[in-house]
Amino acid sequence: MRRSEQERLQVALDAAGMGTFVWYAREDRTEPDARMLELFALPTGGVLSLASALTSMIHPADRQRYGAAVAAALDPAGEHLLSQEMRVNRGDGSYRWVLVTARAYFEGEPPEPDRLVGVAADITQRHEIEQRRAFLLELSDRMRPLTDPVAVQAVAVEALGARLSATRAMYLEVTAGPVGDIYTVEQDYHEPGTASAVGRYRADDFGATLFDELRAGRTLAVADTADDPRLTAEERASHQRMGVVAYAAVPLIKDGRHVATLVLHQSTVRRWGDDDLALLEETAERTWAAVERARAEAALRESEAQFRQVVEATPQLIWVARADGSLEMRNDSWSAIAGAEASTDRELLVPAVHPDDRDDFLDSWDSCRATGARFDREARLRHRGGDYRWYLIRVTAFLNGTGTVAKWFGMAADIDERRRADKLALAEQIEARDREHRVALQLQRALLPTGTLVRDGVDIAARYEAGSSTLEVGGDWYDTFELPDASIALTLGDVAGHGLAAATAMGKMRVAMSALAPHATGPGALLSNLDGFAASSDGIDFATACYVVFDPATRQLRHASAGHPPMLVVTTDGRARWLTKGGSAPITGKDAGERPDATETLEPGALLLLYSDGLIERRGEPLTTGLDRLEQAAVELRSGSAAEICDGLFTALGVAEQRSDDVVILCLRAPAHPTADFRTTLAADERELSRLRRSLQTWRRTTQPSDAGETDMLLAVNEACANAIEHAYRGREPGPVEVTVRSDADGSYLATVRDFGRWQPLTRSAAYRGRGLNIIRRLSDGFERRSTPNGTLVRFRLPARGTPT
Amino acid sequence: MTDPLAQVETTHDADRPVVRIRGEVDMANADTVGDQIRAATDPSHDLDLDLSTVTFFDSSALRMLHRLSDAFDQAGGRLTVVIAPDSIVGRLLAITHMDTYLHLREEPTP
Repeated sequence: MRRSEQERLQVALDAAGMGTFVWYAREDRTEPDARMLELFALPTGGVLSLASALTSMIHPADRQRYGAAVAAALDPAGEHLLSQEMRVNRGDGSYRWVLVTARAYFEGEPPEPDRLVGVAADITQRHEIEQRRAFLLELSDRMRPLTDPVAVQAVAVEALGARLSATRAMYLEVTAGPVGDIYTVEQDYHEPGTASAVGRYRADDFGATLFDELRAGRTLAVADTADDPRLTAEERASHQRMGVVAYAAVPLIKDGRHVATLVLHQSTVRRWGDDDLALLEETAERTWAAVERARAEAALRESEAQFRQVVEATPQLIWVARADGSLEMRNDSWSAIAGAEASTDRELLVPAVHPDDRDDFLDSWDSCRATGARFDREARLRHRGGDYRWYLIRVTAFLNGTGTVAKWFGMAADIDERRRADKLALAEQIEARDREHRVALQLQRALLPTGTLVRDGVDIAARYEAGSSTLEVGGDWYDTFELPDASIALTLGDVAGHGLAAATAMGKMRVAMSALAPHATGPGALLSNLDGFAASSDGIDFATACYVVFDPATRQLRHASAGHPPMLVVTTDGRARWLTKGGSAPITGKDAGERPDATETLEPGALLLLYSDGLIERRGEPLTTGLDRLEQAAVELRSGSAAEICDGLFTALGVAEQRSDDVVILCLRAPAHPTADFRTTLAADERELSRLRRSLQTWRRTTQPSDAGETDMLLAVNEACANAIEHAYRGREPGPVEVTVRSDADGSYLATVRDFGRWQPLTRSAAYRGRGLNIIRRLSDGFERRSTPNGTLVRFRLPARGTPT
Repeated sequence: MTDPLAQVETTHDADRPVVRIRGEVDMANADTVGDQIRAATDPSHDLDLDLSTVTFFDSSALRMLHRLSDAFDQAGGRLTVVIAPDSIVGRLLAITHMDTYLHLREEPTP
């Protein structure tokens, strides 16, 4: 080795704190450098031999191992390498850890070990760190499975005391007492022959100085109580009584409070090394954490045990599932349910749910599962016996800290009795309501007129539909009767309320109106009379009514309304108007003063419509919409008979589908007189006949809303004209045929068919002929035929309602 | 030329031909309608004459029907007249008592 290389090597060895040596095996002689001597606590020029190292310098516990390792390195058949860690006496009774690494060299044949060449280094610090870490890891491992906080303390003080060769080690727990902190030692470590310190202490028992330091969070180390200047004479005496000469204490401050202290006692003077204190601090921290964990777990176990007891004792079905649905627990009550051998909440519940409830149940449950919302549902669950009972099923999510579902808590409570009771009560309620509805309906029918007034020339019809069964019968009424002066009276109204009371009240109102009407001076006066009547009658708190007096001869109308929807007039040519005059407030039993009426003249054939609000009112719709609908429908239906119009309006306004209340319509058609006669002249051509029939039909409908008898008229007039066409102008220039039909006041029609030709005797067989006149005779009254040289006249009367066959 | 008053349609039911008349039959078209029916049928076989869609019928039409019925009787076919209830045809057959010797079957207007 060149000199420069040697120098460089020495610098490296110095930097690493390493010593070098050559040891000659035959002589047990070492050539150490200065650092090597230092490591083995030898003075300069000191002699280092294996024998002396193994007898005095090396820690007794390491001697045998080191000796064996050297022998192994010197074995010619071995690896020739030595690498050993050992404790070497520093000379003051303490040891340092030294790592020796060397290679063996051999001489001769067979080879004999000649020397070891190697380096040695002080690894005390590294070794202590490793040892401390190993100790702490082992301590943690031992404490972890412990569930009793006192056992945790016992393990900790035992391990620490033994590790640091203390006389006593203990873990003091601090609790606030009424006259200062209390220190409790549940378990301590003490060397054989030393008294245990288990017990409860006050701060004074150890000395105020000591505990002031601890409360401030400072680690305390006293090497000798006899001469430590921080202690008072009493404290010194107190420690001596307990045989404590040296001690070290590490306080634990949590949330600003002194909660525990780990203490080491020594019965001899002891200068606590930094390592000792560092280990003490680390152990204290770990012990505290382990004790608290054990304590929390114990509390949790206790509360879990209580929870379990409650859960097992409850008759309800309880289960807990993990986020994925796998079951964590279910209580014994589940044994009553069919197919409860399941490993997930779904398997547990779904097969038990009644098939009819299952789809809805699953849909709802799945959506709650997706959102974490509470699931709450009633469903039937199957018991082992096969019967189903109703349950209220609730599933609540337990969320973890990040807001995701940690567990599902499920509960199913048997609500079968309640459901049964509810159902029974509901059925009784429905039955009672139905009974009342039936009675009210019967009463209502008895109280309403069986028909409408029949008067020639005036078509009157009414239609009444009682409220549906679920919504009950209301208090609508209508009436038609004749007054002494032969005018026609119409009343229609609505008493507020439903059921029997309303039906009775409406009966009273109807009878009162017909009884009072002949004596009232007019419609307004009659309604005023009703104010007094309502005041003296029970059950009429609020009513609306309208009253009409109609004179068929003049078609004059006098009308009044007490809070009732307006009457509608529709003329034959389709104009509509609302009768808005003659109105006053509803009848409430209070004096409404003089009620007005109004006068109106109906056009020939015009319709008058009275109705109750049920016809036009629809939920969530303005009243005007209903009025518009009524007007439009009435205009469209105007050419029908009064009865057809009533039916048509019920259909058009959707009474059957929309009805929520009574609905009543009263329809009157004014007489059509005077009506122009039907007059037409046609050429004697058979192709004229269909046109004739059409124009005759159109005319007839202006005089008569009902089509009863229409066919008869068309047949009879058609035959009369056909006869004229066939016979009058045979063999001559065709002339005209005149047709006249007159509508008479009694509803009958007088038809006249006239030609200006001469009827010829029939030349052909009459087998298939002669039916035409026969038909006319059968359909008409008073058939006559007059023939003159100037022509033939046929006249017949078609009765008002047609001729029954 | 206006639309003809009536249309004559020939179809086949399950077991026999059916002639249906739509519209009005009167003096103006009774003979034509009668010719059309005869042209489309064989009086030695059964026939349904459907008058349920007839809207007007008069004595000329009855005459045509009478002749047709006689032709079927002579040839051995059975002529069944189908009418709608409460119809003009029904009324006419009743007041002329033709309903007593025709084979009638009531069916609602289709």
